[in-house]
Amino acid sequence: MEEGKKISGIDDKNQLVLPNDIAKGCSYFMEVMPGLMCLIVDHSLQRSIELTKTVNAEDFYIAYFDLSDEIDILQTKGGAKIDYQSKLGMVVVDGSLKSSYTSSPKIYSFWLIISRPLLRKYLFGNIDSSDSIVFSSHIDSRTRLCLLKLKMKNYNDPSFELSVRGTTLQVLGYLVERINEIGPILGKLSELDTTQVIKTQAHMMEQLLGAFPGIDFLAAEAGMSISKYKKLFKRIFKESPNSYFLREKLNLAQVLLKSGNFKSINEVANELGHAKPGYFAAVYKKQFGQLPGEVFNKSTS
Amino acid sequence: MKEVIYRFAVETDWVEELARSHGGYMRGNFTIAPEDVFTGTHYVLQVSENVTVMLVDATYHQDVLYKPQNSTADFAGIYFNLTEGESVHIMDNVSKSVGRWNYNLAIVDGEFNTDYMIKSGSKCYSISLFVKKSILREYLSKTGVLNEVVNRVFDEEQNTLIHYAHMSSASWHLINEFRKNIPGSISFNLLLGGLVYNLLANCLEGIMKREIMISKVLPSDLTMILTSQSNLIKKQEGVFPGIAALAAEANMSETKYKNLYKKITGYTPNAFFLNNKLELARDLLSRGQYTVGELAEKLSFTSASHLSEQFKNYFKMSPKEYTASL
Repeated sequence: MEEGKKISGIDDKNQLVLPNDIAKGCSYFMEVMPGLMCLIVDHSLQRSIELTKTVNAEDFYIAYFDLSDEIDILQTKGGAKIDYQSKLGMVVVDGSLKSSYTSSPKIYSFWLIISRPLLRKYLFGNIDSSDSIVFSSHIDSRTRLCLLKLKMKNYNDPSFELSVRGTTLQVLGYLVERINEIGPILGKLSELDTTQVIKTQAHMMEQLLGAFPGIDFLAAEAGMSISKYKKLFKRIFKESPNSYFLREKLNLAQVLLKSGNFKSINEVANELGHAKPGYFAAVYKKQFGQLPGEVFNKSTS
Repeated sequence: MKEVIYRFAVETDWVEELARSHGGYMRGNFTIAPEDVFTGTHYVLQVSENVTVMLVDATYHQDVLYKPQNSTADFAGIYFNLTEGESVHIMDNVSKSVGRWNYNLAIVDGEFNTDYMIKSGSKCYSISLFVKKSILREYLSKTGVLNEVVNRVFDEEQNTLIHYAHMSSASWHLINEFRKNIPGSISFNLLLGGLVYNLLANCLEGIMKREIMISKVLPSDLTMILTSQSNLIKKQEGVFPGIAALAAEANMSETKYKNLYKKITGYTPNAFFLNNKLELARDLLSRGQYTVGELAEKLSFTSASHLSEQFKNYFKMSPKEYTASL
């Protein structure tokens, strides 16, 4: 990736090291086989930087897996202040789409850079060469598990290179299964539209404590018609904005229930703007198969 | 009984021959054998120019005697075996069983040919990697082993690559997780390739923890040591027979016996004997039929406290703590 090289010196064959005043940690880049590369970015940032992927990889797909610290719950006098960032964890984009993100201070991410012909080989059905593959989702548990295993390893271990090769192939295998399952083979998407829709998703994630912003508001924010917005959102995130919002809200609920920062389940329900605890319990059970009480950790302070 | 004469290599030109000598044929990466030989999956994939993997997940319907006849030696075989029960028997050169395979991991020079038999009715699960020595050498150099030592490890005049061991729990979990995948599915080759590299990484970590011993081993030495080990296992409830008696039984000098034993199994005969006894003690404890005192007597420990002490040393918990944790 260009951005890594621009600001870094290369330490080892595969390790990129950023200047210490920007970040501590390192990146690791490797070509695993022709058409398949992987990049690991593992940094504690000393100051905020914005990473921009420029369009220089048209013949590649990029799958990005974020395993950075997922949530910061800051305890303040008034109760828990929540900084729940947009953490879908997994994004697959076309190399031809420009994207940029501001990173959280502690980054650990894993990137697969896959050539078009290679990925095509593993997809069912015919894909038009002009089609884009774009989707965002949560990292599935198998992928998360093998990435966490890799995260525990030391870069300087002699076996690290082998572990990276193994993990890369495994993650690609899971990704291929997933793409075939949900079929995110899309028509050509415009870069601007995609960016706009992803922006509204980020906006929703910031508003998780409140009520659903409303489809007309989101569409206006994205600068498109309601019907176009709904259609695009569904293509990228595989569900409607409303059900996406509710699901994320309940994911957050689960984190809060387990956090041990609340005295009662009612408090959590209130925090999330659910006025009726009974309704909250019902929707929670529908999503997770168990009642909030079964996972709740009571605050001891 | 069926005899299969075969050879392995990183290049996969032997697969066709192997299929034919089973009386079967190839279909893509699969070897299809006649149903009275074995049923199940037999799959070969060349992962890179340096590594090939063979996956066997099959039930045998007759005894099959495998006679490897490798002549080239540019690779080593790394064999992971999750077969359950007493099904794989190492044979000496007159096709007599010298004992079953007590290990689930073996790293063996490609040139080192040992006959073995798979019994009818066995459910086999094994993953065999064939890895170019040149790449193994590269990885070993990276572990910080001195160049001179690496040179000697791969010098056929001085050393035979042979290493029998128990796979790490990490490898065991990797393989069990992998077993959930369906052979031939769209992601199968990717996941199999991933498994191969992860297993190689684990192996390298395992090798780093073990002392490197340089010596030549002949196939007859291996069968002797494995026979000796089988005998030790039979005597596991008694007292240690002593190196002199064991060496005499194996027809070797004491020094040669001790060195070979450690080279092949990674343990001294004494340590192997004790560890094996302790594993047995743990099994018996978990069945709850014996007190620690009775167990010490049954397994010929000098006292209950001696057993407790050794147990704690090996399992990092006392027999009492172990029973309580069940």
